[in-house]
Amino acid sequence: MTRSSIPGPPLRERLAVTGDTWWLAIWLLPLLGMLWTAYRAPPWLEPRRLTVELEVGQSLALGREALWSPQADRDHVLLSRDATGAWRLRNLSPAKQVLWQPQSEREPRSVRLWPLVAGAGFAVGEQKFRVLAAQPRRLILENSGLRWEYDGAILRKQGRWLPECRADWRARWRARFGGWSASLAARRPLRLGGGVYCADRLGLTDVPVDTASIEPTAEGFALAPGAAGRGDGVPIITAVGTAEAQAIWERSVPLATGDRLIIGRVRYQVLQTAPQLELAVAARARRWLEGSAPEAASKVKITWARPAWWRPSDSSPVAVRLGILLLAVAAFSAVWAVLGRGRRSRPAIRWGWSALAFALAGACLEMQRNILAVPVLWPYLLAWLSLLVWSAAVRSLWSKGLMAVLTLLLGGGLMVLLQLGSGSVEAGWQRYGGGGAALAGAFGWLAWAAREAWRGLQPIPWPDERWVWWSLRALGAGALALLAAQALAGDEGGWAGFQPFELTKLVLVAAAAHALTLRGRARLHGWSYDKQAPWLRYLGPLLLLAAVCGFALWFLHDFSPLLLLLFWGLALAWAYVRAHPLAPWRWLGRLALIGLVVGLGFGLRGLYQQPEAIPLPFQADRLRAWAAPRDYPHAGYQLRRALEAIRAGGWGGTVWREPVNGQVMAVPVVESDFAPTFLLNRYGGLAGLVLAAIQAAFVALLAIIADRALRRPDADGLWPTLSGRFFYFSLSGGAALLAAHFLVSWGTNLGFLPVMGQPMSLLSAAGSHWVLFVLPIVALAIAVEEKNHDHPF
Amino acid sequence: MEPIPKLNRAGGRRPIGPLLVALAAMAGVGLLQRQLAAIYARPSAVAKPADAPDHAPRREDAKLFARAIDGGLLRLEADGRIAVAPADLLLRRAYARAYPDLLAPRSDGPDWLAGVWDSERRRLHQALHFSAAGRYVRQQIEAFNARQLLAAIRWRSDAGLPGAWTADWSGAPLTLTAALPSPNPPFLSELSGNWQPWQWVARWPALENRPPVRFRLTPPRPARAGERLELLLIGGAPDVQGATVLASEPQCREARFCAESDAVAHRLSLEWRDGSAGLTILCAPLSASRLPELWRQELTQIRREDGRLLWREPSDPGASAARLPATEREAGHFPGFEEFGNARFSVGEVLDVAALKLEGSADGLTAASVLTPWKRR
Repeated sequence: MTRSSIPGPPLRERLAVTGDTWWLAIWLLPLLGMLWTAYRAPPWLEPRRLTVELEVGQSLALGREALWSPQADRDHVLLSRDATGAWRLRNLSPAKQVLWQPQSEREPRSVRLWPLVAGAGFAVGEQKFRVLAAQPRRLILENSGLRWEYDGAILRKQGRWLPECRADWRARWRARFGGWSASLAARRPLRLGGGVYCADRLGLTDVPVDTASIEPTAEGFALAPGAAGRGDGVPIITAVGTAEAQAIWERSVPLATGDRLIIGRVRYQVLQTAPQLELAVAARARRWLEGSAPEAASKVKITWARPAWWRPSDSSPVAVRLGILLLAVAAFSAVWAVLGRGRRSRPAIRWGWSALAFALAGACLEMQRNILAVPVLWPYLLAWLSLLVWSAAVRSLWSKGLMAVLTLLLGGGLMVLLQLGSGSVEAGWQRYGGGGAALAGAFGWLAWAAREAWRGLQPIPWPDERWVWWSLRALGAGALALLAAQALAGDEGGWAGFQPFELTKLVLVAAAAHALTLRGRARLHGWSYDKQAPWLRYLGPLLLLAAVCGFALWFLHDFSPLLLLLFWGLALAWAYVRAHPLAPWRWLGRLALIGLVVGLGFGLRGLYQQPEAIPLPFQADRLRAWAAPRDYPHAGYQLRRALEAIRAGGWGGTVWREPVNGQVMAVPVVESDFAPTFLLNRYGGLAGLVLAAIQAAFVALLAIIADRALRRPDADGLWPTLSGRFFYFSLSGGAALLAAHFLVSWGTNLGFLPVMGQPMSLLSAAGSHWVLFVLPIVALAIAVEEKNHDHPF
Repeated sequence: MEPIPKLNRAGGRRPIGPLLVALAAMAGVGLLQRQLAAIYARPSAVAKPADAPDHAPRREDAKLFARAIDGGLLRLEADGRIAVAPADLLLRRAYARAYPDLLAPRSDGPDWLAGVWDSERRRLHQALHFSAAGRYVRQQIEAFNARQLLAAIRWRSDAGLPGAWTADWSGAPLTLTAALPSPNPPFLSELSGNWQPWQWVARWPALENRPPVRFRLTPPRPARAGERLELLLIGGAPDVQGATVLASEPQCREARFCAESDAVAHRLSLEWRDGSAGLTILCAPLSASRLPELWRQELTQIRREDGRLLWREPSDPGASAARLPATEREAGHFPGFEEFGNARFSVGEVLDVAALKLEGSADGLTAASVLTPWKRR
């Protein structure tokens, strides 16, 4: 934007006044939507306490209905009282487990775990085993004259180390890692069944693979049913040959006060065992619509409570702690504001603000960790306040615009996720919206704390170029290390609770921007082998790019990240050639890119007609299902369900007449990749169009801010040289990736692209994507634009 | 070459920012509007392709089933059940080459390591064990196999001693149901007197071998000598423990004179032993083809005709889930169905398909399909 586009002082002032009013209206809009959602929420009653009465010697089977656990079997557990009056619990489900965490233990374990001790015997099918020794990291078994030793990682047959089952690089790396230090090696279960003896598998004739497993525990090892084990399948008998011989499926555990249970994903805690058994329902239970027909009477008495919207429920110490913290913070800031008016120095005020923001960020993170224990609306409130503070602080017209669009997108997304939780029959769905809001709030408050601290510290100079470049290298190395950690120790869902891939995308954007900035500074343009062309420096982002592509293909087995990267690469190339100083490069480059995009479009069309043309080693079904959905009812299952839900919603949506969510909840991953389906079903196609318009405006505003950063003169003394270009390429790349996310997500949900597995930014519940990618890009854009505004050129 | 130190900044261009925002918004809205309008206008969510001119299977499950049979990954066994290639077959093949001494001893079942092996079979094996369609095909096979054997017991106590029956198969507990799988065949319904209801084995576990079924009757008090009972048993020749056999009469489907080799049922007269706490009957299950009127093929998509296995397309009216006995649907023993467009899906797939982790990669060396409840982002 040139100077002429910024109005003169009178107009600007006028705009500022009306702008603030408008801004407040925009800020209030999603807030009102959220309050409306909470107000219109169905009148749920949540089970808080289950009370079971049983005479001594009696037993009672409980399941889905009585336990209010939607994922449980019809008869899932058997509660019984033995002759002494003590309670015991047995899992009746043939395939699903019940987790039990005695008060003294830190990790829950299956009730079907049978600790192995020396001298004990067990049988899997017709194969009998005798335990010769069982200590931590040392288990010796004997079976038909063969001696098996297991250290928790690698099995030995008659003293011979067995090779890794899967001869891939990951297993080899793990094996080598284990060889260096046994204490560092990851302990893993020994799986029984199948036809092969290898490092963590003991084959058994006539027993399907993974029928039983031997899990390492703190005390040694324990026998448990494997992933393929079923109560009505191959029998697993414990204490075989003794009077206590029992199928592992029939094992029961004693219940004591303080024990925790997970049955069908619902968590319970034992409150008391005498005179009756009382269970507190901790999380994720099914809810009951007040006023609807009462459930059939069972032997379980239930204490009902309404969902905690504002006031914490009595059984939530986390919420009470957080409430005290928030009240203390509010009191502190009020006292600080009243007492210190006009007396304290500005840096002191800034430090005070910074500490306050830091405390709020901490509160947000604590809420995110215990999202099901805090009242529903608390995280939303904190996120909203941080948006208000930031919106009031930005001065540039473009940052204000960006904040307004961000408020609408984030606010709309949070409102949709709140509806997802409040309209769901299962209480646990609140965690998606609440968790996202808490993370967004934490990011906002942390950024605010950093901003205030930064301004309190001034005059610290703007970091110089070397500092920026070294930080980039460190970030790149960190991102690669995180990817490696995910590849080795995590799974495609992430590592240590978050998705490092999102951070890698951000670092890739910055590293590529750095390389292009250097390219822009090079004295020679066009292809050159001149020594001054810093070719080596371009290797950094290329290495990162190669790592990211390899990670997506070999670890995630997914090509959707490559589509994002392709989009990003094209946009970055466009950003580069459009700013090229040589006119032929500018025009021919852009023409070539347009040609490439048209060619890709034709390629996609060709792929639709002949999906077999690309021989993919994975996800080939996805392409075929995209081209002929009717012939691929299983591979295209998600899309079918999604399209059905979208059609059911129509242009108007269903939320206006039906507060309960209904069938759309059956779409797999409706909270994440298929959140747009939820939006289209509940709020209708028109809401989808409004969302698409705001998303387009969001990307366009980022592109405009990037363009403004490019047009800063180098040597005006206020900015370090080159920063403008770096920001230009960073923001262009970020905007392109965000646009690609929007496009891919719409394509996934509406079925016009053969991709899946990418969330829609600021709508899907995708915490890592929000705080490690989207919000940093927005923060960078605002920082750049504010600097631009403070020092107009 | 003249050094050109700066990127082109093109100062003084006309302001196009607001225009760009408006254009981007309009383009986004227009594209989405077209897509949505097309979806709303379609009569069904998924467009139907033109009818295929040939009768080759089009659906992925039917194709996979047919190819897996051709490729030898699904085999029809002598007892009528379908054997599925084990999930760790790739590993077994790799070990048969590299470490033949690390293979577990083979059972009497099919030899999966024999025969040709190529990339197509490898791909099919991968699909059979690690894809959503393969999971569905295996569920259908399990449902088919669960109906290939028959065993049932019915009794009356002359002494009025009550009791409850349980059954297991090589230690695996069996569910007993009173519901007959289909209308009574004549030879089963000709009983008079106070006979207790039938106890049918509702579903057979996926055991690879075929051990005898063990029926066990537990009376509430120890029996007294001289107390008698009568049994009617569907299955092979019985072996009785806990009571004395007074008479054993083989029964055939039709013939009045019945040889033991043709028998499908046995009628037993027993006398309790004094103090006996229970009665145990061991008998081999009967192949369902011996009693065709009880053979419930219609409950799965797999059909056996002239010794060949066929996959029935779900548009056939016979494949409806509504015909399932309520006990089986409720007990979750049978993969439930759900109407969805023109296809039916197992309920179990609803949440799992998305999270089905394809652990196999190139080697397909593990059977565990890990199901993650939700993804972290």
